[in-house]
Amino acid sequence: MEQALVLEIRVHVAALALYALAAGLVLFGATMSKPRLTKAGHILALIGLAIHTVALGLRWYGAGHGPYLTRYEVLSSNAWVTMAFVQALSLRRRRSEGLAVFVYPAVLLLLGLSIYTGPEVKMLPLTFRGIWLVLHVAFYFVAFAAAILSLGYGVLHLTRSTRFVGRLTGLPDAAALDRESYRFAGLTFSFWGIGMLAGAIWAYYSWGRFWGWDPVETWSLVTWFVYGIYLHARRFYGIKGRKAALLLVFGFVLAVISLFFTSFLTTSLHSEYFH
Amino acid sequence: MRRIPDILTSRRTSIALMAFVAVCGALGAWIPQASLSHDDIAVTWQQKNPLIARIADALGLYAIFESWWFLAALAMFAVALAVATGRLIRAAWTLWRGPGRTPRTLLPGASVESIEARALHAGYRSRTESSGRHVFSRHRLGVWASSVLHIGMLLSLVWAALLLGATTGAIADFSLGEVREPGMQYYAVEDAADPPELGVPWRFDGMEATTWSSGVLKEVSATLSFYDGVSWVERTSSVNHPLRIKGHTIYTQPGEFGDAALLRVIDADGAEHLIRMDFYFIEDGQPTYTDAPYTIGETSIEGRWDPYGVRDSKPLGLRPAGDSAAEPVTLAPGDTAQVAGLDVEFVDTAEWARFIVQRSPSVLPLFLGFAIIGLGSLMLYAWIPRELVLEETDGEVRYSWHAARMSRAYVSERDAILGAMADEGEGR
Repeated sequence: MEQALVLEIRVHVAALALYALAAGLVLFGATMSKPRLTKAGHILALIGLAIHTVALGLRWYGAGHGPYLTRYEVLSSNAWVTMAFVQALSLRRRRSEGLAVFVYPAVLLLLGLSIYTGPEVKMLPLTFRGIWLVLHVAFYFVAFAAAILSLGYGVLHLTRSTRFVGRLTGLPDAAALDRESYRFAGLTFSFWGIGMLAGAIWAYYSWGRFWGWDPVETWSLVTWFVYGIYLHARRFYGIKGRKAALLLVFGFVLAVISLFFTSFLTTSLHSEYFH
Repeated sequence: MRRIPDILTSRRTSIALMAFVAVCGALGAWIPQASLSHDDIAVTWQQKNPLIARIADALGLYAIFESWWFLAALAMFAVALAVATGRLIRAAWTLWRGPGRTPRTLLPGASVESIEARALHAGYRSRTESSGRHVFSRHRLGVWASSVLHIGMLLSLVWAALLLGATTGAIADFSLGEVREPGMQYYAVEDAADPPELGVPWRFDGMEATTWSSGVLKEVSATLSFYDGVSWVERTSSVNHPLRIKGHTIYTQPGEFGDAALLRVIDADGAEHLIRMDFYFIEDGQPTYTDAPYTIGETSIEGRWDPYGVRDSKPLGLRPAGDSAAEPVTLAPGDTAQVAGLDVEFVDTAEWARFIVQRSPSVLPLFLGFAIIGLGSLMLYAWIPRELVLEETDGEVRYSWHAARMSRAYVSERDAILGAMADEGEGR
């Protein structure tokens, strides 16, 4: 098992290197109108994802539990789900290709932070088990990946008129960027909500209550409400474009606080998570 | 007068209430809440933020989630949600039963047959066909998505409020083999006037704990027996798998069990005290200590439990509380000793455990609400209903096409069905 963990760190670093190359090539290719470089970047990202999958598998085997407890595991899993999401999307729709200029560096950042925090293994606390916890975590991973994609489209929409983003090739028009950010915000809302509810069921079985206004729970609810407000504002009040994108950025900041900062509050029952 | 209910139940008010609850939630997560935090955490926070602490104190922000105004906002939100749900159901029903939108846009040179073939190929289904009007739809069930989502939220919110209001809890403390008869006192109770009560005797028959190689707890389960009037029936309650019995839920708590020393203590006045000195579970090969002193009369003592002989071959060590310089007096079962002026006899060892006992209505409707929310969310995203209506009159074909949400994302689908004719016709 220890050997698996030693190997896992090396494989993780290899995945990081490939993601770095992929991000560089995609950025360079998109800004310099070199489609071959962009394509090479996508292929490297795909290889990186395969290697990243192996790294997480080794981690799972070595740690004896899924990669969702420590900062190292959570950030790496977030990076993996986001990359898998964008790759799955690009298989289905070519229009997501322009998004890579935002998402690949984001994945690189997540995995880089993961490795920076250190690969210490922690045993899963007794209450951090069961199928509802796995579902809770899995839905949040998907929700966060959707939030990154949504943010990506939103930020590209906001910055489309800038010199740098304006010269990127393979980018959809402003209306399509706005529409896609809306679509992925909807997905974030759905998966975030389901993740939160799965967490409530887990809490009921493990802690004896389904809701306790724990800081992590509360921030999660706040984030969900903000995405809900965003969706209602778009659907019923026609808010779109720049205003909508700014609201989305705000929602994403809350999501980051909710997932990565609130567990540091000592009053939280989640304080074993992400430490 | 009619205006006030309209305002209270408007969509704008719902969004404002959502924003209000979100802001309160953010404040409540930041400011230590009296019901969630230890006193020392609140004191440290107040020292770090003296100005905000004064404002929080004046506004009652240390108990946001129990405050009347927060609960009133949640209640108003529930009412707004109920009204919104009713409106959504009515709108969905109208769409579901309706004849389809009136086709207005002319499609020059089009034939219904060719469009129909392309629509069916694109996954549309033919719905009705009457007097020259053809209605095709895709993901028609999706018209109910918002209604389903809101029904789930309403059910969850209402049942959650009911559960929070109707649940009462207590902590039951047991020594191994001890029977709890109905009406006996609990170790701690939420509402002394209305404690949970199973109504039958029940007994703690043992705790099974396994650990990882590092010593961290892996599995913990308790064996409990319940007397059904004829015989004792054995049941299990594990961490993450509470036992539901007779309208009550019994939770085994991680760490809330361990070994104990049964002591007979004679104080300076000659009075006899029977004490169970509890030690929390600790992994194999380690000594453990009492987490708080035991006070007998005016004297306090503390203990060490060392069943693996790490410090001493005799498992129990006792010394005056707080006197870290004093060498503990060690005892084996049956031994007697003088500790801090007390005559102590170590009578026997025992096991102890504490369980949370809750009386609450079934949680299943809440979980059903959650499932409905999940279904509604996915329907909202995955089943976007589209409707195509064609009408043939006097040799001319007119159409209407509608997607309930994100219609611009499906314009290419519409164009594939209608072909270039749609673009030509749109302008007319």
